[in-house]
Amino acid sequence: MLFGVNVPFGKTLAFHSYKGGTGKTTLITNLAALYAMNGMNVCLLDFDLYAPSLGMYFRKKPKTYLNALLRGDLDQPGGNVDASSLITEVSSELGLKGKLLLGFSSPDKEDIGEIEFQHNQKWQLKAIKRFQSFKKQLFQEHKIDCLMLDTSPGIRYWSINALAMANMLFLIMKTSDMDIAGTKKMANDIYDVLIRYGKSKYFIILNKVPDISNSNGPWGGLTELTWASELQKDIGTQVVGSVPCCCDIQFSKHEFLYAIKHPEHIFSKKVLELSERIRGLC
Amino acid sequence: MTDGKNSRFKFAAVTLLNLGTFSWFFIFVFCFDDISAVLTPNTPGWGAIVGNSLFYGFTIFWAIAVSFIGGKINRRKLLFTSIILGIFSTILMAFLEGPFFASILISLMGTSLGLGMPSSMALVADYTVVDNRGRASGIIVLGTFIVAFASIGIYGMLGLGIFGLILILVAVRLISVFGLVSGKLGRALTVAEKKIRLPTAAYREFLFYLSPWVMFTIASSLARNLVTAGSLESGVDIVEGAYLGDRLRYVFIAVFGLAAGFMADRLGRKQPIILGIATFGIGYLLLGFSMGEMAVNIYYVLSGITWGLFFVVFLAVPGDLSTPILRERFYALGYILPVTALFAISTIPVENIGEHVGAALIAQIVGGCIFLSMYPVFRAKETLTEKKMRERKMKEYAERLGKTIQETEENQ
Repeated sequence: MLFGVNVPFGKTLAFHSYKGGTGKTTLITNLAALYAMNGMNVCLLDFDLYAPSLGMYFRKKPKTYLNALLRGDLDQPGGNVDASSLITEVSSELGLKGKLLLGFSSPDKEDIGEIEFQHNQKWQLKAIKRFQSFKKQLFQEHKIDCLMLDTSPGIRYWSINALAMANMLFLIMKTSDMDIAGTKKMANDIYDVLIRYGKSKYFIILNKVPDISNSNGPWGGLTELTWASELQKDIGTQVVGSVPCCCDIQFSKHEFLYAIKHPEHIFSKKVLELSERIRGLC
Repeated sequence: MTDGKNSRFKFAAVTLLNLGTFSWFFIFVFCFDDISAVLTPNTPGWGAIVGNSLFYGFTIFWAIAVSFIGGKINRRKLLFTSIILGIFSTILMAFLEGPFFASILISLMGTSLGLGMPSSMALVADYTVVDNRGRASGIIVLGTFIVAFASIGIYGMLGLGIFGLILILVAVRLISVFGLVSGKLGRALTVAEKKIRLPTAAYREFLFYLSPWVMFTIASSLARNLVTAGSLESGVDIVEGAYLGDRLRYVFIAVFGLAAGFMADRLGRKQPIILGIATFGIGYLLLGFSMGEMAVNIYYVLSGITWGLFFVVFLAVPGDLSTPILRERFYALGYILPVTALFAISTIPVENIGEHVGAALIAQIVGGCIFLSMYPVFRAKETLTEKKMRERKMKEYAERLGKTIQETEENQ
């Protein structure tokens, strides 16, 4: 048992990265499943509206997508939204103790196009209001402890929107130079602005860390810990954990919730460690 | 400007450094007749020919000299030398007179300006980044015009005389010292900075950008002579009649200078240049088709708009295109040379310029050429890239969104 049973968590966590391919979706689904496995009620929403992947990951095709909510198709009188068809619960089929609710975004070309080209800020703000109303419902009616948002990588309207709607921001990054420079810029340009307006803080998660057992390997003579502390200094925030790059997962045909299916795997252990640290931050 | 308190402090110091230098230059040029009359009371006409030639000649010579050695020598020492030289020669005006001493003093002042200006401007580029350089330049231009014209106003209205003018000039030059010292400006370039290679294409882009700037300075300096020639042709004193427009021009320079900074950072450098050249071209054509008081007044106001836009954009563009070691060269050749040449040419009395061809016809032809000078700018690459503009837009969006969400949450 990881945590005390159903200790109120009550936070919205956004997971973001400077660029794609950082393994964000794999990590976040495993984290969500771990929390649910240990009795928490978790909702995971695919806010990567420009390139949705959660539907494919869980092999689900819901009746309604998040896009409909944002567009206003689910609006009801009094500023409420009817989002019952939006949520898919998978806890029973996965045998999880707590709830795991999923919300998918549409892979349809037209829906992605609408999001891509809808730059009207009034529209964006209206969509955010709808989402906030939906979020309230999730916490009150579905009694969820934690809402997790899988955001679009980079700096785009809907990645900023998702970050702005969260309480805590987690920045997932790989260890390449380009990632570090870009992340630093993104932290200066976007995170610092959002934090000024009430987001608690942002943290770094290192993912796909190569050769974690070899301290003289990819770190240029530094140990992983020293390297992480250098990175903390450089970017100006805490590194909450690092997850190794595992070839068997990376190249598996369809990685699916490794952390709960293979708890002895190094990847699962590291994700578990990470989940505890995140829990400690909340 | 955006990277924390330290950058803002450095930027404030660079602003003061440049503001002091530019204001000193404008006050000096504006009051040059008074200065030369006091320095050479028995040699009327000395200032117009010899004084101007020495001042602008030395400024241009030293600016070009610095453009070739600027990146290799300590900027801080160079700037101190130039400012102290300026203050020293300004103070000496109170004690020396006669053509010989006047020549030495005016040459020293030209030297001071030529030595200091390229490096002062290079520091603007050093302490800003491409997406805030326009606004930084706009603030410098606005500040310069406020300080310069407040000083000229005080000098004129209070009838301070040469001692008062010297005090004002010294005080204004001391603003630069304050900026230089407080900001600890002018570090030596690192080896890595010295090694940055400038792609050949950057020179070509720079030439494209220079085309309207050079055309503008030539046409501006010609305009004064054309208006005088127009006065002679019509027998009406248009110059006197356009007094209001001439004064309003400075207000427009300051206001549009600030606006140009925001425009240059938001829309890119090309838009303000195109707007400026179109505005100026219209003003010039107006002169060509109706050389009267009203037209000249309007021309002055339109040229003020262009001055404001160009002062700012051409303070930003050399910084965008140059590498740290080449900054002085880009500013000396691309900014100081055209501006000082403009002031120098406009002091040359060529009153019979319209005698054979007619001032209006010349204005029409030049007006056409002004529009043509826009063409290379269309071919030039925007120095503020799409990516930078987008990043800025997103940053502003995050700011607005953060604020809106915070307000909504507080209301709930």
